[in-house]
Amino acid sequence: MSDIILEAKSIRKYFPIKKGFFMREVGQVKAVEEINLAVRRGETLGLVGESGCGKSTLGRTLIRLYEPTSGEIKFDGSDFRNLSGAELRQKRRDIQMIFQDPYASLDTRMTVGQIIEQPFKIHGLLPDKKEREERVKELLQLVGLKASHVNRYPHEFSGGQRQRISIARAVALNPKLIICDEPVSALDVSIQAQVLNLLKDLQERLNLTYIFISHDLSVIEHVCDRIAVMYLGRIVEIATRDELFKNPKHPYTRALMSSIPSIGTGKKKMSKILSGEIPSPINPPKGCAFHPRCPHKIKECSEITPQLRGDSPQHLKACHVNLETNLKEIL
Amino acid sequence: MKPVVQVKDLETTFFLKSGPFRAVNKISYEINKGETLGIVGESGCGKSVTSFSLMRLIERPGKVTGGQFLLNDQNILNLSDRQMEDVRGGKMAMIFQEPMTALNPVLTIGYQMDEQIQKHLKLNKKDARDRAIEMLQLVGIPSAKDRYEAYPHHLSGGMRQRAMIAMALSCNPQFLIADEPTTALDVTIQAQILELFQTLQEKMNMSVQFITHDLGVISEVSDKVMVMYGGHTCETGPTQDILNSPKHPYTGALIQSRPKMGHRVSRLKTIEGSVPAPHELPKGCPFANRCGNVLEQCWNNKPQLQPVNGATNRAVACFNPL
Repeated sequence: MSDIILEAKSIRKYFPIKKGFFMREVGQVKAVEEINLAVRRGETLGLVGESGCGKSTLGRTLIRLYEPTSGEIKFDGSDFRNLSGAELRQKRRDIQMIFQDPYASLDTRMTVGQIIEQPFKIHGLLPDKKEREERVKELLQLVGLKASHVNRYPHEFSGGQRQRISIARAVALNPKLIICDEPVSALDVSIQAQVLNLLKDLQERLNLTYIFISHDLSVIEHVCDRIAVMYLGRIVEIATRDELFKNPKHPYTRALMSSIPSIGTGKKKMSKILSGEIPSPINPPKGCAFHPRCPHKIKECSEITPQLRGDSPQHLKACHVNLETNLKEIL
Repeated sequence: MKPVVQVKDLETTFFLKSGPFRAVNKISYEINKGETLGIVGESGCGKSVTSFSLMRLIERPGKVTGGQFLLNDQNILNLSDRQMEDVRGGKMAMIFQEPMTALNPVLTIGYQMDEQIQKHLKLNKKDARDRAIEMLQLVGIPSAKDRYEAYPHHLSGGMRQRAMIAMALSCNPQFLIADEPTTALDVTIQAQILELFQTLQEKMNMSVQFITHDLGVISEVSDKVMVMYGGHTCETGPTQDILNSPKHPYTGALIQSRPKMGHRVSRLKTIEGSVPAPHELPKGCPFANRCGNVLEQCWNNKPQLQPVNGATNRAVACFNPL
């Protein structure tokens, strides 16, 4: 069994923009551009970036909720991109997803029992009703709910409990990989901590691999082993957690880190804030997509798109400039 | 010098079919000129209802059922609806969380600003337009003249929030309420808006009530803090004192449940359970059923705000503080 569970090569996802009576295609939103990524078994890989950077689209493209425009996806030894029909369904058992909004991702007219039972029905597992009910109750207890909750409806639960229900549904079929798309962003701080701890416990108990998508760097730092920072559809920096936080090399990563408000440092003038906003992915800037906002840009930046590279494979960045490591200056 | 804002024993009740429910329970605080009070708490703690009560925006079945709100010695809660129209948007203004829902989508930014400026500053149309454009420039909106003609959906989230700020500040309010103004924004944009906010506050010397659930944001913008839970005040005091040595178990738990950059722990501390529904709040201290320091008396008696170690600027409502 190989160490890499999911490998993506040159993944692109463009969405067409259609206009007019005949819905002619007038342009493309380049949501994900040339992404190469390998996820190791048992690790948590974080995707971090601001809204519109393509992190959710990438997550969905990797499990083919969106068909990639081009590129290859290998999952657990199979050519996932080219599977279809029964084979695809078979493989999809091993990949599950947890969504951001537990109010929208659960069917309001189904009981919790029916929701968690769905995966078994779809995949034709546990045909015996008794056995299935037993398993559903087990799953509820696994995520910290009560077996007696099985006949209740989603609206009877709080946000944190609903997120537990979607987690129970995601782990029902013993998947190998779970994509968590902002699983705690909609929750209150005290509830966030509960859900993050639950995800961690489940990872240890069930041997899961996570791709964890979030805009919140402090959450990402808490849960992830490796982190990829995205900007306008591309990965701009990828490194192990400790390496990235000790030694951020891309100017965008540094800007992200310094714009996070920190506790207890006192009322202060924000320094080093990034000016401007994320450009439109319909017509991204030439060269490095970050150059219009970058304080360190040089001539090449507006002409040549930088590739991901680095001295060690543990730490890659897509930037023409070599920044000095002076952390005090950044934080 | 007298504080600009004095709130005394504010009480807001919602009269629901299931019975009356007090969303804000005897809240008192003061804000001096140029000072920022941060109100922190999770959803349902009453922080937004407090602000809406001050702006007199509470609608049936809700009602402000007690207390006083003095803005420069004028009791706002006694004003007639007609008099209130002159105050709202003039002397006091509010910025909301979601600028897309707070702005009218079918009117231009300029129209919405002019309306308010003409009313409160008694300017004619042309001067009002100049004032609006000046404000848009002040908040850092590029090509303000074009943006004046734009509709809200033409602007990005960050720009819309800037426009909201321009609108709120256009009539030189003495008191500004900001209700989660950066929660819907990305971090880099949030940093821009917070900085803008601080610069403008200094320039205009306003008193600000800043509401957020994010302790990091509170730490960077506010001078003093009030922590709320279940419609009650848990703790008040200078921001850094509270964040560095919280006294109320709820404040302590809130701080610890947040992952901190650079301080990695294997498990986060959590607050067990979730915020109870209004009719399920314990009889005594509202936090009793989730508290790690709970005592026998907490269940039946409501703790009152008491000074901490005799300090005049710090108080906590707890029988068994940290």
